[in-house]
Order: sequence, then structure tokens, then C-alpha cells
Amino acid sequence: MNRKHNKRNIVIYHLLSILFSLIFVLPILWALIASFRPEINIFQGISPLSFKVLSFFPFTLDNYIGVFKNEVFSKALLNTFFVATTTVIIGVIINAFAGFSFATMDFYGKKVLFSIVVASFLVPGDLLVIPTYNLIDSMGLIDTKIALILPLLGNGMVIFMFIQFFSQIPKALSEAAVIDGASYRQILIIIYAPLTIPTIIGASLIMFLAQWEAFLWPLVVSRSINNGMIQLALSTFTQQYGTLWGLKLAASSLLCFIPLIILMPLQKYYISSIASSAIKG
Amino acid sequence: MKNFKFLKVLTALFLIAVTISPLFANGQKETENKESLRTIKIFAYQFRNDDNRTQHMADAYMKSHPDVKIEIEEYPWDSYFQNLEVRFNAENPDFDVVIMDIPMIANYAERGFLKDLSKYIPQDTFEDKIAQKSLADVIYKNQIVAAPMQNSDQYLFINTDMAKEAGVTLPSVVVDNNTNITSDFAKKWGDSAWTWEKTVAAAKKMTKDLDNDGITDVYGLHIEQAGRLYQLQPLGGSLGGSIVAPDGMTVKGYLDQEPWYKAIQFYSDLFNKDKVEVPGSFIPGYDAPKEFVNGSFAMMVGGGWNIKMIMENPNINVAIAAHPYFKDGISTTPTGSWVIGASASVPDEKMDLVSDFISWWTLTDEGSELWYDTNGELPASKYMLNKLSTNEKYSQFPRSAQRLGVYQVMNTAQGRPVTPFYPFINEGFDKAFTNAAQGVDPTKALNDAINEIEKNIQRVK
Repeated sequence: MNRKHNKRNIVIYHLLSILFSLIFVLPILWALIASFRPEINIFQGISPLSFKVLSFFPFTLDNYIGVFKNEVFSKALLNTFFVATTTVIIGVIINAFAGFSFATMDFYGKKVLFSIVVASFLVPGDLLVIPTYNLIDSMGLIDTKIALILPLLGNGMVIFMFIQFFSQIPKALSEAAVIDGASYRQILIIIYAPLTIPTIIGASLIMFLAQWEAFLWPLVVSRSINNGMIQLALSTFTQQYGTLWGLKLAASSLLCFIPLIILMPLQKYYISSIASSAIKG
Repeated sequence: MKNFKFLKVLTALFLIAVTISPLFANGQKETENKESLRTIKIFAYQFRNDDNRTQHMADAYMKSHPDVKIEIEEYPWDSYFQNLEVRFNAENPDFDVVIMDIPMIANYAERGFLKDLSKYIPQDTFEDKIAQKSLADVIYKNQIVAAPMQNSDQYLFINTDMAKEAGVTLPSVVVDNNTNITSDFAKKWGDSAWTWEKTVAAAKKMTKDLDNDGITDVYGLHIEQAGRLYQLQPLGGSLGGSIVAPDGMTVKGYLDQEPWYKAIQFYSDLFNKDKVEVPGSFIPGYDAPKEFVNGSFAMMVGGGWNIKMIMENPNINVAIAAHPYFKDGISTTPTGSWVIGASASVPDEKMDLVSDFISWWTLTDEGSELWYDTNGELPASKYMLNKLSTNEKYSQFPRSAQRLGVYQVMNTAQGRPVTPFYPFINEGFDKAFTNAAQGVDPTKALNDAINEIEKNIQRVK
């Protein structure tokens, strides 16, 4: 009786799980499938709703060809890769140094600075756009890649992650290194960094996605096609009286799947790194 | 240690260099200033993403003014407003001329973002050159805060095959691809408009469940831009309703009057009682013209910007009728479009150039004609409205259909409220009509929206 009961519960549990998953997955699936249909068939099967909505046919690659032929989009894609990668490389170094200082050193004003770091990721970024714009403008950096990279280098959330991680490493490790004559820079690079790989990957993902998804900041500081970013390029497919749905869905699918391709293997590595990290042990 | 000393010296030298650099830069700065006074920077709306309409105008102006340089930044609908908001609020917006959507200009002017153009271009010139209703929409607190570039027009598009099949008789005067549209014809066409009551009756006949599965396959009527103030203002307007007080400071005593309760009830009934309107049309990005052409509904109240696409589609036969009105009301149609103004940050010594450019684009015969030929939207200048109505050059369909728009501008056009609180009113209005269409009691939906609008107005007043 109990076994029957359990079996029934498991079936109900799985059915509900499938149902809820479908609610989340179907719109994304629809966008992906519709991006392979010609413009005129994009909304087929939507009103009234039918299974045609999830049909790849009539099949076409025109939307994807159109997206890559679109100079604004293809340039923006390259720019975004460059800007995001540069932000990750420089940003991880800066934030790791900041996190290391907070976690291992005592200095005047540490508490105040730490509060600022925490506040910086609690305040919505949009609120800071106008003062940051004024600052970047006064530095003469408008419409440059530096303007896109600079404000996103210091990331409160990432610094916080590094502080949390470094705080868990026994101080005895760094103290022993100091006695052996190592400088703080050497301690960070030689001793702490190898233990920090999972955090570095996590931080890289956060910083990469921040640039990948950035809209308002690139919108106000990049003026020319040479400094365009992908979310801006995506918005060009929507016009006042109509949307180029084929191009928009194809571009959106690409924008979802490119980071997924990059992130999935890293995520695996990230998880395994945590499991096998020296800290855990 | 040695390295550290070297770094210190290098830093000190760098700081000294930065400090004294302006002393050597004066000459260069003077040249830059002179150049910047002959450079016009435009913050532009991207009218289409496959051609450069603003650039076309800039090129023409630069050709006749070789000493002037024009730089353009263009943004599409999705990113235009956010960007403009940030830039206006920044210390240096970094543009001189700005292309704006007309209902936003009172808000920008109230916050001191725009120059009063009548200080640089005589008001008489505006009155001589711009259609009276279009000019009224750009005057805020007795200042002309922008110059109208173009206008908009609205029509009832009827799928004639579906009408025939349902036994619906079309209005007595309609337009198709072969109609010769003259000014006289436009008046007869306007006079033959259906009432909303007739339109709904026809829509009911054309609403079809083709396979008898209880699900509607073809709806009778769709009003484009579902739930939006621009599109639905004629419902209350036809019954004599206004949205805001003449000073633009409150909607109380205006939006909470009988015409608007009737209007919102009517709109709700289209969806919930008569069931002739498309329920899915509130999905963001719903492409009404495409759905009309695909046969999802039989009639569409929509903008003149659709004429070319709809009438040139070989799969559908369409007649264009005048915008409906209520039986006991008057005929009103939405109007207004994009305007061009000058940023308040433009230095006075540069305003002669900036105002000359704006004047050339919107007030001169040459500029307004070039813009019409480039962009193709209904003009706002008297010269072009007249030329469009009479000149042989514009007598071919579909462009000749805009002669119907000229009739609207002169007779039925009703602008959106000129108020700094337009964003609140627009949002509240849209919410009320959208909620009512989706089943909320219309009176409650409107009252809730009015309270919300008033609360927001009081908050920032």
C-alpha cells in the first residue's frame, strides 16, 4: 500500500516538475524555433494556439544570415567579446588585490571602505549612470572602449567574493610566507591565487555577463558603430511601428547561446574546483 | 628600492605635465572652439534602420553651407528615450539639436532642457509656415519649444474580401489602389466615415470561427497599438472629452468625466462583450499590420504609416475608410509626430547657426519638401500640405492617400495633452484601457489610473 502510495507521489512529483519546467522552457524554445522560420511565419500557431507554434517548418537560415550580414550586429559582437574579455582579465586582478587587502591586512578606514564596497553592489547601477557619465565625459573618454571598460572594472560583488574566500584561508599560511621573506604580492600570486581558481572563475563569469548584458551604460557612452555593444545592436531591430522579428529572434538566440557555450564547461570546472579545493579539505 | 624611486620621479613628472599642459594648449583650444561653433551635433531618432534619413538632410544642409559640419547620433525606438533622459540630465548633453516625440516636449521644456525657438525665429514665421494644429502642439507656456517635422494620420482599413463574404456594405466613399484622390474627394471621404456603432456591427459579422471548434479564427476589428493613449484618445475625444486641464496640471475634472467612462466601457466591450477585438494584441511587439495582412482580423484602425505595406501586398484586397466616430459625437483623429528642438545647453553664440538649421529643415519650402521626399510621413508645413494635395508629383497611389491625411490635419486632428506630466498620464491611461480590455471593471480601471496619475503629479509638482 505504502509502496503504491510512494509510486503515485513520485509520478505526481515528476508530472508537476515537467509542467513547471515547460512553463519556463517553452518561451525560450519558441524563440529558438521561430528564429528558423521566415519572417511571415514567425507567429504561426500563436493565435489560436496550436502545435504549429513549435514547428521548424518552413525552415530557413535567412534570419541568421541576415544577423551576421548586419554590420552593426557583427561589429557589436566582436566589440563585446573584446570589452568583456578585457574587463574580466583586468577586473579580476584589481578585485582580487582589493579582496586580498581587505581579508589579510588591517589599515586605517578599512571598515568605511568595506561598507562602500558592500553598498556599491546594493545600489542599482542605473542610479549611478548620470554621475559616471559626467565623470567619463570630463575625462574626454566618451565613445571609446575605455569608457565601456573602466566603470565596470571595480565590482563590489566580486571584491566581496574574494574577501569571503581569502578570509577562509588560514592566516598561518601568509604569516609563514612573511617570515620566509615573501612580499604581499608574492603571497597573493604564489600562495593564494592557486587556491582561488573557483572564485576566479566565478568572478570572471559575473564580470563577463555584466558586460554581455550591459545596455544603459553602453547606450549613453558609445556613439559610433566601432564602439557598439550587442544589447544595443539588438535594440536596432525594434522600430516604432514594427519589429524585425526574424532578425531579433535569431540575434537573441545567439546572445543566449554564445555565453552558454562558454559558461557551461566553466561551470562544471567551477563546481569540481570547489569540491576539490584545498579549503574544503 | 631603486625601482620605487624611479616610479616616484615618473609620477611627479606626469603630474607636473598634466598641470601645465593647458598653458600650451590655448592655441589649439581656440581653433577647437571656432570649429565647435560651426559644428551641429544632432541627437536623432532612427526613423528606419536601413537608411540614413537624418544624414540625408544633414548632407543637403552641409552642401549649401560648406563651412558647417554636422555630426549625428541615431538611436532606435527601444533605446532612444532612456538615452535622451540620461543625456539631458548630464552636465553636458553633448548635442545641439534634438529630435523628439511630440508628447514629451512639455516635460523636457518644464525641466529646462529646451530653448525657446521663438527667441531666434519670429513667431510669425512659424504661424506662416506650419499648420495651425501642429504649431499649437509645440507651444508650451507661450514658448515654441520645438518645430514640427511631420504629422500622423489614422484610417480604418477594411479587408474587402472578408467584408463581401460577411455581407458587409462598405462606407459610401472608400479608397483603393485605383482611386483618384483630390481635395474634394477627401472631404466626401471624410464625411462618409462609419460611426463606431456601425463599425462594431460590421465587425461582429466578420468575426468567424471557421472550423466550429468554439475558438475564434478571424476577429472583426483591431485598433492598432493596443491600449495606447495616442491611438485611443479619439474614443473620448469623439464624445467631447479632454484628458487634462488646460494648464496641464491635473486630470481631475477631465479624465474622470462621462465621455471617458463611456470610452473605456466601449473599449472593454470590444474585447469582453462583443468579442470582436484580438485578445492577444497586448503581447509586447504584437505586429498588427502583419497580422492584418495575414488575415487574423478583418478591419484595422491604424496609422498612415501602414498604407504602403498594406495596399501593395498582393495577398489582400483592402479599402481605406475614414476613422470612425460615435453616433452622437464628432469625428476626431490622432495627430502629432516627431519634432526638432535645440538643447538649452547650446551657447548663445551658436544659436544663430542651430536655429538656421532647424528653420531650414522645418520652415523652408526646400527643407520641408526634401524631408517629405526622404521620410514620406504626412507633412506639418503648410507649403508641403498644399503641394501634397495639389501637385501632380504626389497624385499616384499610395502616396496620394496622404491627401486624406491632409484632410484630417485640417479638420479632425486632435493633439495629445501638452503637459509636463505626460509620461504619468500616458502610463496611467494605457494601464486603465489595457486592464479594462483584459476584464477589469472599466470604471474601476479608470478610477484607479486617475488616482495613480494624480498621486504621481502631486509627488513631483
